[in-house]
Formats: sequence, structure tokens, C-alpha cells
Amino acid sequence: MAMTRIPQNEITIFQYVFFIVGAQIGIGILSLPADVAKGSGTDGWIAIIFGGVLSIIASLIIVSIMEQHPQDTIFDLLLRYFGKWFGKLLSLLFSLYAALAATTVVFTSIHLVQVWVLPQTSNYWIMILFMIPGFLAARQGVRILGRYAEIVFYMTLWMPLLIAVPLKDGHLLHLLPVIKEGWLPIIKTVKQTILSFLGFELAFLLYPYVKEKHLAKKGIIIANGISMAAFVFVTLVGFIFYSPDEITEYVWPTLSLLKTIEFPFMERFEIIFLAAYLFVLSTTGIPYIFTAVFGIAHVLEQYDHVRVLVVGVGLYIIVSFLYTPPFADLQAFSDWWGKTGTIVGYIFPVVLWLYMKLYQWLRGGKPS
Amino acid sequence: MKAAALLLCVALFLSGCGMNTKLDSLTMTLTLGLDTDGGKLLSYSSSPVFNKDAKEHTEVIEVNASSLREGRYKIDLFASGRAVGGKIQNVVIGKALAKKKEIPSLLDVLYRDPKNSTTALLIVYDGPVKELMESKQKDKPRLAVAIKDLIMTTAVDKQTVKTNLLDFHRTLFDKGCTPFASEMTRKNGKMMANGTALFDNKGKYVTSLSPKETPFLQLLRKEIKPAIPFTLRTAALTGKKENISVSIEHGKVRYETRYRNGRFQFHVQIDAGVIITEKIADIDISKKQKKLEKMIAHEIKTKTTALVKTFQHHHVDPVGFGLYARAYEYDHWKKVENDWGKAFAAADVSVSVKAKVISYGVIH
Repeated sequence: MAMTRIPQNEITIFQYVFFIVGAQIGIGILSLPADVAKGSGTDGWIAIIFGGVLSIIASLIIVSIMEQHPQDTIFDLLLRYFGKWFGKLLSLLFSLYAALAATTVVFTSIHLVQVWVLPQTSNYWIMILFMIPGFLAARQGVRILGRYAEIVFYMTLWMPLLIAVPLKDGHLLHLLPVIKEGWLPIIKTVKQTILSFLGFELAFLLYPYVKEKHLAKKGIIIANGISMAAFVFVTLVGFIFYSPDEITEYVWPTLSLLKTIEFPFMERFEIIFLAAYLFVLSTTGIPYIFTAVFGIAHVLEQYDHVRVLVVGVGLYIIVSFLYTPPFADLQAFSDWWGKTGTIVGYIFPVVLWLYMKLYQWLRGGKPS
Repeated sequence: MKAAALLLCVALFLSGCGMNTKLDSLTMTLTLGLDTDGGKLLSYSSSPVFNKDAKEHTEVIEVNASSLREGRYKIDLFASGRAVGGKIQNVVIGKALAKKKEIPSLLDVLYRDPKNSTTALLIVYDGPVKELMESKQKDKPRLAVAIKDLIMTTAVDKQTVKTNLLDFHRTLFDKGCTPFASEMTRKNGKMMANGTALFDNKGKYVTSLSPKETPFLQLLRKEIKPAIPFTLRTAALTGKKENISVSIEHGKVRYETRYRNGRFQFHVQIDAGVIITEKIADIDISKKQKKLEKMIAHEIKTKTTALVKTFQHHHVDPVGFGLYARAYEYDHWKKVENDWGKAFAAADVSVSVKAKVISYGVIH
């Protein structure tokens, strides 16, 4: 029941890497420096490295699971191991998780645009404007999304350079002493980085489409590595520029960093940056929308996911007419995504892996 | 079908035209003034007028209000256009107000609303802000431009500092240092930059540094580029009341931090490379170079030590000694971080200076 047929939708290893990087770098990075600073001050960057290592381990487990049935997406796999009804229930839960992630990203993006760029525009207009390209991209299969992620990655390579500009006014002294209060606060802060690293769990969906499957493990390590480097970089710039006491004053320290950049002919440079950053946000939102829609179509045994997508996009637009989430709700969304993400991204792979081992052992060592 | 889609796209772009803003229908506050008058908060706005019929090209509005944002609503009542704050270049605060109130609470709206630019300069004005806002100087451009130019160029010569709203916010919230801003006043009807205003860690005005002291604050803050000029008396060398002007072109400022006997100890090591820019005194530099270097070093040492004494006396730390305390003596720092001004006042600070003359200029 391969719905979006694999041969037409094969992606290269680069597309696979950038797809995951795109899904990981999104809204988390905008608040990450403040989030980790609250927990462990300027040692927060160490927590990000730990978070990165954790996500690499979880990713490797995911790839090992998927390797057993190279033609299956997670939705096929769940049916294979858990039978029709329970498998479908799990698939539905996975899709709902993806929908929660997509909703968080979409509404947070709208909120960002409203606060920083278009305070007068109603959120349904922005939603409609987001959903048109979102629909066009998610309508296609994995290959188009992979290509899109790759091109967006290349298009946004200039952004780190710009974020580094405030460094000239910073103090490296802020980072000292390294490991201020011992390891405990750092380890507690790792939890805060989980939300940012989520995105690797989309490998559950992507794996069967990867052309060079023998590179899948290396690829996912590289993807997590790129994201981790980006997170550590942004966090260090934030810490060097802002003092450890001040950075927690900002909701989005990464954007506030850009407010310091000013040209004689242009103020508020962060508007331009944020407009370009919408591409980065789209590579987080669209893959999750796609995953949710794809999963639900699978559960409903629809051959094509477009019908579900139309309903989904329609729902988003209708909801945006009725409901403008206040900032507190957005934070609740993020919290929920972080919590369920911990389950779906970290706990679920381990449990599934153990279950599969047990299942195969009971069957005398043969994969089902 | 395609044509319809294209038309739809164009129509979507047009939606932005509904809320257009015409430049000439705006009252853009370029300089924002805040002052106090017997308990009232006075808010001033100076904005350009784009209308050829208007005789004055600057509109000044004075209102009294309990906060800045409320002030803007009141300004709107007077302004011929819609009052907007996104283009503020300078925020001028009366010294009387800065002494009385912690100014960060007044400035909150400028930080909270991202439409406001945080790169506006923060200036303390010694005198009633009204006189500055309403001053008309025939030989100067618009007030906002004139003030900004004055501060920016004086800051390059190190006689004042350049502090924008964001810098102020950064130094305010950093527990290891206290904020400072440029100071202005008026003399003989002309506005002038007048050194540096220092604030405590709550953002209340404490004291000022003169234009002659400010270069040494910059030196301690390692803000040496492009150069720090100053003039010193050479009486010790020639016995006459003469002077010599030098400028520190490059240098290294190193801080050593220790914690001994219940207090912090800082040692500041300054290595300065100076050039002679003007010599009134009759000294043969090439022969007496060593002596001259010693004298320059002594001058820098005296000035910086006096400056540090001033800081300690007022419990402020605009240099950021606290950053070093935090970085190198974290455990001891942690105990005093919420009252660093006091701990710093008790600290031992010693300065040692080495000066080296690297050039005399092109004449002997």
C-alpha cells in the first residue's frame, strides 16, 4: 500500500539531510539562548551539546528500526507489527503528534510576523498567505519537499554571518567560568533543548525514500550535527553579546540580536531577516503538515493524501478566523510539543526497537 | 485558469495598499525629551514638518503625562499628523528627572514595542529639557540631526560616550557593571557635549564625569580605537607651566582579579602606545623620551586611579570590573552579585601603566 510511490519519490542523501535539518531549525532556535540561560546561565551551550548527542542516539535507533524493513514508512511498520486496529491507532497518534507540531509552528510563525512585521494584518490573512505555498508543496511527495529543504538551506547560508555581527560589541568574559555551578544544572537544562532538536523523528517517514540507504546513519548524524552547530553558534553569540543576567529578559533573544544592526539607510533590519527566515520556518512547518496528512490518509486507506490535505488546510484557515492564539497559548502549544516530542522522538523508538527484537526472537530470529 | 490564478496573486498583493501611510501625514518623533517639573512628568516630542506652507520645519510638542506611552496619546492630540515613535534618534532625559526617578521604568515602552528603534541615543541633559527642545540654532541642521551628530563625533574623540537604548539596557541588566550615558548641556546659547552621566544598578543618575575624565573611562573599557587624546602639564619636566598633547593610538589593558582577605583585588595593567600631537613645552623629546614616557604613564595612572576612586565612592562600576570578578572569582562573586556596587567600593584596585612614545609627528 505504498501510496506516494517510492520510485518516483526517491530522495538523495543530501535532500534527506537537509530535510531533517530544516525540520529541526525552526522556532526553537529563536528562543533557545534564553531558554537554556534560565536553567544553567552561560553554560547552556554545553546542555545543547548533550541534547545533540541524545538526539543522535535516538536518530540512530530510528534508522536501525527502519533498516529492518527498508520499504516501509512508520505507518506501514506499525500495521505490520501491531495488527490492523492497534497499528492504526498508533499511526493516528503519530499523525496527531505531527499535526500538533505543525500547528505550533504555523501559529507561532503567524504570531512572530504579527509582532515584528505586520501588526495590523489579521491572522487569517497571514494564514491564507502561508497556506497557499504550504499546500502547493505538501501536495507533492517527499521528493519535492526534499528539494525544497535543500534549496532553502543554501538560500539561508548568509544568515549566520549576520547573526555574528553583534559579536564585535560582546564580551567573551561572559562565558567564564565554564561550568559555574557544577554539572547538575547543565544536565537539568538538557530538557529545554529537546524541543529544538525535534525533527529527526521524521526519519520514520523519510527512510524508505532515501536512495543511498547505506548512508542513512551517517546522514542523520550529519543532520543532527548541523543543527547542533547552528544552535550552539546562536547561543554563544547571544551569551557573548548579552550578559547572562540580561538574556533572559528577552522572549526571542535571537531576533533582538538583529535589532542592533542598523544601516544609515535602513533601521529595523530584523524585519528583512524575519521575512527571509519565514523560508526556514516553512521547512519546519510543511514537513510536519505533510507527515500528519500522509499518516491520516494512510489510516483512512486513501490512495492519495491530497484530499486529506485539502481538509487540513481548510481547517487551519477556518480555525484562524475563529481563534487568535495569545502568546500564553503558544507557549502551551510549545510545551505540549516538547512533552509529546520526548515520547515520540526518544521513548517511542527505544520501546519499538525492544518490541521488535522481542517479536523477532519469539519468531525464531526471522524478521516478520 | 492560469490568468485567473495570476489575477488572484496580484489581488493578494494589493491587500497591502489598504493600510498605507503617507510620510507627510505622520508626526515622526525624532527627538524625545523627558523632564520633570515639580512632580509632573513632562514629555517633549520634536518632529519634522513636511509642508511647504509651514514656517517652521520642526514641530515641538510638550505634554505632561504619567508615562511615555500615555504621553504619546496626548502628543497625538496636538500633532497635525499621526504620532509615531519608530524613527526616534535621541532620547533626552533631564538631569533633574534622572536624579529623581529610575529611568528604565520610563523607557519600558521603547524596549517592549518592537516597532520602536532601540538604536536611539540616550542623553542626559543638564538643564531644563524644554530649552533644548525649543532651541533654534541657525547654524545647525534639524535638532535631532544636530544632537546626534554632536554626540557621535564627540564620542569618536572620546570626550563623551555613545550609548544607545540597547547599550543602556545591556549595562543595566548586567550585574557586573552599571550603565552610563552621554551628557549634554547648553553654554552661551549653544548646545555642547558635556562628558558622561553615570547611573547606579537601578538606573538612577548618580554622578557625572567631565569631558576630561571621560577618555580615561574609555581607556579602562578598552575602547581605544581610533585614539584617545589628552593634554598633560609638563611642569615637572621643565619647571614652567606648559603642556604637551598626546594621543593613545593603541594599547593593551589587562585585568588581574583576585580575592584576598574578604575583598576583591583588581590589578589593571595598561600598556599604551602614544604619539605626540602637540608640543608647547620646550623639551627635546628625543633626549628626554624615557622621562617623558614616565610622565605620560604617571598621568594616565593618576587619572585612572582617581576615576576608579570616584566610581567606588559612588558605588558604581561603569568599567565592568564585575565581569572580571564573575569570570575569575565566581564563588565569591555569587555572594555579592546583587549588590556589586558595594562590594566594588570595598575592593582594592591598583593601576600600573607603561607608556611608549611611538611617534613625534613630522617635525622635531
